[in-house]
Amino acid sequence: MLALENVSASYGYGKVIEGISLRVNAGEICAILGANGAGKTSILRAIMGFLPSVTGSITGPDGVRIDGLPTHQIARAGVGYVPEGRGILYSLTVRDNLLVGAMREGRAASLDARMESVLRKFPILRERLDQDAGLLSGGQQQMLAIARALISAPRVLLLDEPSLGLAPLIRRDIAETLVTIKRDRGPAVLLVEQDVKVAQRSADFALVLRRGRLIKRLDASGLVDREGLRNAYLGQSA
Amino acid sequence: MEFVVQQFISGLAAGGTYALVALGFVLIFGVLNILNIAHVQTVMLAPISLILLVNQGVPLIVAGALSLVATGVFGALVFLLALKPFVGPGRKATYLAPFIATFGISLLVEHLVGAQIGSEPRAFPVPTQFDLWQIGPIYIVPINVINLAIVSGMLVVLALIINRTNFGRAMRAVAENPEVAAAQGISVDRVVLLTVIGASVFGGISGLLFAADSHVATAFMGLDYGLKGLVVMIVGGVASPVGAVIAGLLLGVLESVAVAYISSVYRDVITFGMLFAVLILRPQGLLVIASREART
Ligand SMILES: Nc1ncnc2c1ncn2[C@@H]1O[C@H](COP(=O)(O)OP(=O)(O)O)[C@@H](O)[C@H]1O
Ligand SMILES: [Mg+2]
Repeated sequence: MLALENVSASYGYGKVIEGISLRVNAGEICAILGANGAGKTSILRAIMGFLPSVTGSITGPDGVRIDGLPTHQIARAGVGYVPEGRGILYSLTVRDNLLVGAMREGRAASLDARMESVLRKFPILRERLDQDAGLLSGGQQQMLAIARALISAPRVLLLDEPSLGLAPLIRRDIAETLVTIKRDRGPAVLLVEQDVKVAQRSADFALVLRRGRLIKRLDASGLVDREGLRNAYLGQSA
Repeated sequence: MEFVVQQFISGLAAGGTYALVALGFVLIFGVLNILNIAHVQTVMLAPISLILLVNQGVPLIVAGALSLVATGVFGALVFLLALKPFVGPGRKATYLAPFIATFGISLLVEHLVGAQIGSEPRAFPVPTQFDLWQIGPIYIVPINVINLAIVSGMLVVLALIINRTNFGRAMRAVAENPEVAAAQGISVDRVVLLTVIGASVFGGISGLLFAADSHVATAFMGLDYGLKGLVVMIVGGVASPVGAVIAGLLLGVLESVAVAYISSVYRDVITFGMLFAVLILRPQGLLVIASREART
C-alpha cells in the first residue's frame, strides 16, 4: 500500500507539487497523467526522498511512514523505483545491476531463487548477464531496470515513463509486463506514463496532474475514453 | 647491467608505494568525485605514529598495526568534517568547498604534528637483521622486495574487493550514479566512509613502506610525497586504478634511473616532467575511465 496525504514539495523555491493525496492498494496500478512539466517525476522523487523539502505524510509498506527517511532506507522499506531515463548502471554488467538491486533485500539465502525468477520473466537478460549494461538496447535496458526493481520483491513500485523512447512493440511488451507484475506479485504500482495505450492496458485508475496539483480521477471506464484521455495528457480538465 | 637491474627493482618498489597513495586518491575521487587533499597526510601519520609508539616501548609489529588504525581514524574524521556535508542526494558539492576543507585539514594536521615533534627528520626503526640478498651478480635490498610483495598483495586484495564483493559492487554503483545507488538501498554515506577509511589505510601502508625504505620520517613529508600520489593519479587517468598502478611504477623507475645516472636533485623534476609530458601528449591520462560527468 502507498498513501500520500497532502504532500507538497519544492526544489528550494516555489512548490512543484502541492496538496497531493492519493492511495494505491496492493495489486493496483495507478497511472499519473499530465503534460510535460506538470510535476509527475517530482511526485516519484518526493516519495524516494530526493527532494530537499517535502511536507505532508507518505506511508509505505506495512503502514510505515517513509517521508523524511533517507533514500536508501525508503528503498529498504520495500519501495522499488524505476527512474526516468531508466537509471541503469552502464559500467556494471547486467548481473551486477541485478545484484545491486538484490541488496535491498537482506536475505542472501533466497538470492538464487529471486535471480532465477526475474530471469524467467525477462529471458533476454539471461543471455546478456555478463555484458556491460551500457551495451543493451533501450528496450533491454528498460527490462533490466524493471527486473532490478523486482528482484527485491518490492511492495510499492514506482515507474517513471517506462515506455519513453521505445518502439511500439516494445511498449506493448512493457504494458504486458506491468499486468503480469500486478497479477504475480501484487505490489502497489504508481505509474507515470505518457503513452495512452500503455496506461490503458495496465492501469486500474488514473490521476490527472496539472501544474503540480491533482485535478481529476479517471476510473477504468474513464481510461477507455480516448478523447477524455487526450485532454488529460494535454493537461486540460476533460 | 647488474646496476641497472638493481635500480629497476628499487624503482619498482618506490613506484609501488606511489601507486598505493595514488589508489587512495583514485578510490575517493571515484566514489565521491571530490579530491581529498588531506589524503596526503596519511603517508606522514602512519610512520610518525609508529615512531612515537615504538619510542614508548610498543613492539614494532603492534606499533605498525596501531599506526594504521590511527590512519583509518584520521580518514573517518576527514569524512565527517570535510566530506559528509557534500555527499548524497540534495547535497551538491561544488569543487571548491570540499577541496578547501580537506586542504585545511591537511595543513592543520601537518602543523599540529610539526609543533609536537619538530621539523627534524626522525629515524624510522627498520629491523636491521636483513642483509643484502645476492642473486648471481645482483644485489637486492630486501626492503624493496618486501615492499613489492606487500604492494602486490594489496593490489590483489583491492581488485578482489572491488570486483567480487557486495561492497565492491556498491562502490562501483555509487561511483557511477549515487542517486541510483541510494534508490537500490545502498547507504551512500556508509560506502563513502568505508572507502575513505580504506583509502587512508592504503596511504598509511604506503607511508610505512616509504619510510622503511628511506629510514626517516618527517612531519612535513605528507605534501612532498603525497603530491606524487596526486601526480600519479592524474597521469594514470584520474579515475583508473590500473592507470594509477602503471603510472606509479613508471614514476618510481624513472626517478630511480634519474637519481642513478643524473643526480638526486632531479628527482622532483622527473615527477613533474612526467606530469607535463602526459598532460601535453595525452591529457586524458594513460588509461581513461569515463568520469561521472562524461558518462551522463
Ligand atoms: N532538479 C530540479 N530543480 C529545480 N526545478 C526542477 C528540477 N526538476 C524539475 N524541476 C521543475 O519542476 C517542475 C516539474 O517537473 P517534473 O516533475 O520533471 O515534471 P514531469 O515529470 O511531469 O514532466 C518543472 O517546472 C521543472 O522545471
Ligand atoms: Mg518526468
